[in-house]
Amino acid sequence: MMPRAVGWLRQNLIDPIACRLSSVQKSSAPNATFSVAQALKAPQNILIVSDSRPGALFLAASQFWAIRNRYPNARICLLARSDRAFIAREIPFVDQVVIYEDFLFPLGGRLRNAIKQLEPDSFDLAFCFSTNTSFCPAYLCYKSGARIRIGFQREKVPFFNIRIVPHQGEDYEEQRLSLLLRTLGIPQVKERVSWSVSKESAQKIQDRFLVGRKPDEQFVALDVSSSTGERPPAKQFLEIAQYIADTFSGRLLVFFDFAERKIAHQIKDSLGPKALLFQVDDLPKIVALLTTCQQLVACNSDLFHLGVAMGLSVNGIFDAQDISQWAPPNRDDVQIFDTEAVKTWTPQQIAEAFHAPQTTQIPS
Amino acid sequence: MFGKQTRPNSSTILLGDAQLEKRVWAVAGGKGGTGKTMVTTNLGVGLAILGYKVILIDGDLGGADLHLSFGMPVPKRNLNDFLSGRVPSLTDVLLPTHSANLSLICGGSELIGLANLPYQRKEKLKRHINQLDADFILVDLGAGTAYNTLDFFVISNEGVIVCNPEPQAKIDAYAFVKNAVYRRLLQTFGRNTLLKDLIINFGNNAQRALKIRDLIALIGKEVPEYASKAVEIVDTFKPKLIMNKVRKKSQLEDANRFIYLVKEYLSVEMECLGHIEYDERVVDACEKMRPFLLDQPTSKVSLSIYNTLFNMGIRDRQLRYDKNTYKKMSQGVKLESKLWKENAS
Repeated sequence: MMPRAVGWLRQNLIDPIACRLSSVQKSSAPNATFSVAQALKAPQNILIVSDSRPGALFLAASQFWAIRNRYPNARICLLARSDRAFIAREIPFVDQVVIYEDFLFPLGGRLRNAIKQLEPDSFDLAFCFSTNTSFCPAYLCYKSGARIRIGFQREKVPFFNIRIVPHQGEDYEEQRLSLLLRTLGIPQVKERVSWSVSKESAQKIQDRFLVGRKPDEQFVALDVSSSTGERPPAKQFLEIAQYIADTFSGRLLVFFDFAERKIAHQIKDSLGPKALLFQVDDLPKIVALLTTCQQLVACNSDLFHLGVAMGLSVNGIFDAQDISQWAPPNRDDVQIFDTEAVKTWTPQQIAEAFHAPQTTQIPS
Repeated sequence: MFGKQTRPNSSTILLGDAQLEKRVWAVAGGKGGTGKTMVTTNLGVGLAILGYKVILIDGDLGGADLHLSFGMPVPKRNLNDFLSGRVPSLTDVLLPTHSANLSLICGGSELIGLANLPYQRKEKLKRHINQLDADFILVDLGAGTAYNTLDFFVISNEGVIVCNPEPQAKIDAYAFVKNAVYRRLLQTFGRNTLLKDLIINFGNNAQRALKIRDLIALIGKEVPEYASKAVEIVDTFKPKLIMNKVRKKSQLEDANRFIYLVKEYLSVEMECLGHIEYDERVVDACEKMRPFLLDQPTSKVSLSIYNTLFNMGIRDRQLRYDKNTYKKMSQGVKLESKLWKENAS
């Protein structure tokens, strides 16, 4: 089934049914009224629930840092979906990471496992960083038993007792997420979070994975891993990969995941040694490899947002509806193309879009 | 990684150091001609095709010939250059192959007495092998049970025994495992004269079919605090078995009997990774000085080697093949073969 159709089904059919099935108790505690200001003053145990969409952890990292700064002595637990575990486990602002497997409805072993992992902790406060509020993270936020559960307002999502209404006109996802903390008076961090590995570690990783690398060789990265929205067809990925290989002297680093491995294989078969394939499964490895790249072309927002955070020159290919949400303001080195347009690009248009890669490189 | 990292004060998250795994496989066999070099060569080529950085080392110090499998009649550099101090590092004698993922350290035979490597040189070589950067280092060992061979087998994370169905090969393979067990015990307890004599005398008592567990009991009796250590030394030694040149099904049962005997008498858990059929074309590939996998990617022998790789728990870094679809690996090998031919010409 097409990813867009899956997304639509989930948002409009499955999630509402799941919400109805979830039977939220209207007033679970006898003392249902409490002082929010008091509760926010010095919570001991905080749960952060991240959104399950690709890129969400990179976009919300600054907010996690702000929470850590505001509550330096609290124990902070991050709840993340299993396919994002490799990112969640690298976030240093939290004390514990709890991983859950995605589920559709509020029943079954996966839900029980997730709740079982959360049960031993008695959370005072839970933040749900999901502006579109999909069912899974929101429901787990509710089932955590946290006394105060803060999330974004969405119709028929009854899991939060403090609901923040998104601002009109704030489109960029990172800004939208920050509203959750701004509303509660939690100070923002002034700088954006970036990601790096030590010079020695980067060298080790590059020596291991970029075999036969020449001293000044630089690369271009192409991320073909799966995404929630519509994607260009394999043929178009091949055209893009071929264009990059033809016009750029270095090799192409193709990042992929299990779901989209076949596109990666097709590129490898077509380009041979000019393409090196890497599974998206290890954050230090990805960061070390991206530091060698002049440019990143991504249709998955995980590596896109990572590249943006690292200051890399990035081209994103996303659904038109997502563009304003993903495009960082004031970044000339970030371009986003509409997937629908990319689908019909001619080789000439590909050349115009991905002109000669810029020569800026990230300092290691 | 939970809570281990220091909380950052700057805006850059410095990720943890890369923990890059390195596995050292020593390939031995006891008897000569069992196919150790052929297995080492082809496992190495297979691992490189699966996306791993591989270094093959010719550890047959008296009769080096691994380079011949890669079309190198006279290698430009070899282990002698390192051992004699002509070059300071083992990386200086690395030779590229037609695969970017695969490099080679050729053995050298021109130094008289090289097979009997002095202790210090052996230690130097071991130290430098540990410093090499690769996902896999495969050491092709020579025949016999000389201390050098045993020591390189013992230092590897995983040892592979290549055996043939004929009785001579099985007896020599058994002797090799037995000697390796005694070598491990002597390396640990050898400084204690009492235990050293006990182990040597026990090992030399060839007339009686003694079992290692009896030796462990004797060690425990002499020095009770060493008993658990002796058990640990034997328990952690888990060499793998590859039965090569198999002609009929009954010979596969022999492999299981061999594993049973090793368990019964030496208390060593061996695992059979698979078998490789006899095929005359292996000799043809040797004559062509070309790895067999690349010469006959779809042959039964090649399929057995793919299967062996997945039995060893290797996963394809490009997610093309797995334990259930190992036969499809021949497609990737065909492409690699084409690439080697292009590079060679």
